Amino acid sequence: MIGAYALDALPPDEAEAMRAHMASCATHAGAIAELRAVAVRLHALVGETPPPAALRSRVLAAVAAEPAASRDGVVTPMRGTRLATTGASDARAANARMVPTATTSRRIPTYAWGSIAAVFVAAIAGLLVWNIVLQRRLDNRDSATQLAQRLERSVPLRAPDATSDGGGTVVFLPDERRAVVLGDELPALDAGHTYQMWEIDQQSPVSLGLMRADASGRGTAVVAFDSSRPAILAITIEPAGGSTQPTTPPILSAQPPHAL
Amino acid sequence: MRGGEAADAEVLRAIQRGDQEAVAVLYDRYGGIAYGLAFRITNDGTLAEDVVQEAFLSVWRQAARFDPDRGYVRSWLLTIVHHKAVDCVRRRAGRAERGLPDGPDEFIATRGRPEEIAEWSMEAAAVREAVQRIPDDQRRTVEMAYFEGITHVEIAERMGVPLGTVKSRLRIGLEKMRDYLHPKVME
Repeated sequence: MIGAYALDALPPDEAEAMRAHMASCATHAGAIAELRAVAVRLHALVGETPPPAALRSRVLAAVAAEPAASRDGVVTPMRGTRLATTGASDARAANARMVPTATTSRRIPTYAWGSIAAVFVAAIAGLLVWNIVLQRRLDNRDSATQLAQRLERSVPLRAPDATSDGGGTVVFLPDERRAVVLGDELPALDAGHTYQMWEIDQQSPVSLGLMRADASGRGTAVVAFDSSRPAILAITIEPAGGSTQPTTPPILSAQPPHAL
Repeated sequence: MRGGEAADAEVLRAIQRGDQEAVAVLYDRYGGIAYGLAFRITNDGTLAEDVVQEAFLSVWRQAARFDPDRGYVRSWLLTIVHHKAVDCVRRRAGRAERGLPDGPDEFIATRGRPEEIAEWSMEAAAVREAVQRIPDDQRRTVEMAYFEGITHVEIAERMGVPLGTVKSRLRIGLEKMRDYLHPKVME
């Protein structure tokens, strides 16, 4: 039953009973917290979907309209491991029930938009400045060493000539012997062609797999790549299904940092 | 704590201090992921928007209770999104029946710095590998529980197997994923 609980697959009464049990059973609470931490990662199978642009304003307006007094100011000492922390939060989240029929009531009433808009107009300038300040603060959190390491392993994908479209970044992860390829502004391909990645050294090229690009020309792929060896990572356009050897010249390539 | 998680913790602390704009930063980082998850579960854009709005409001309200040094902000947010989306699906009358996901989509994260996207992509790849490594019946049961928003009783009815079998598949499936993921992304 702990698997079903971790996946939110218990009926409400059984879930409530489980929560009550967890309050007095550290063993089950810990086991469930671990499975919770696994379950939440299933979101990665979905990926990102751009929400409607208006949703951002709705969320921020709802937050702005939330009376400060209604915020939960009680700091509860967190117990257990990092995973257990997630589980403890789950129990609280599970208690917050939502009534779908209240869909319209959660939206901001029309009459309130005037005052909310005024608040936001005043807040926009501060928001922009704050974002910049926060980003700098976050960046400054990195030690010089960490920052240097990050810069070392990120390499731009470059076209062999200035006329080619597309670009992006390759993040080489030497410890994992992998690389993350982040294509950007990749030209749309017809159904008969695909992007294919290669490890090219002085021997014959080795296929690293195919990469799809979304409608905005972005593609992401994690590939096996030993960046300690003298080789480059290259992308070609191949017939659908891929090729055993490149049939066209690379449109983009990146060298691991040590080779630069 | 990896780079993206450290940045999340900093944003959460700003929310704890009452900075409403920090919610905007968190939304810009994870709004698309939250909406994608909510939409997958509810199969309804309007309901997915409501779920996302309620989830970010919950973060705002409950931020003081969350210790970002001991838990991942992203996991917390997405757990809330999942709870609310499941609640929404169960309370919705006459919901359309949907099939399971066709298969793991490429995880396309479009926000954040390349290193953060790399972290997410690595994690997504590990999750896909973990899911593909567990037996088909366990994988289908786990995916049905997570993405359909139905109870284990309904899963047993749909799959035509005893309830005990469903319970076992869910627990064992998650445990196998945990064993695979732990050394990779759950340090």
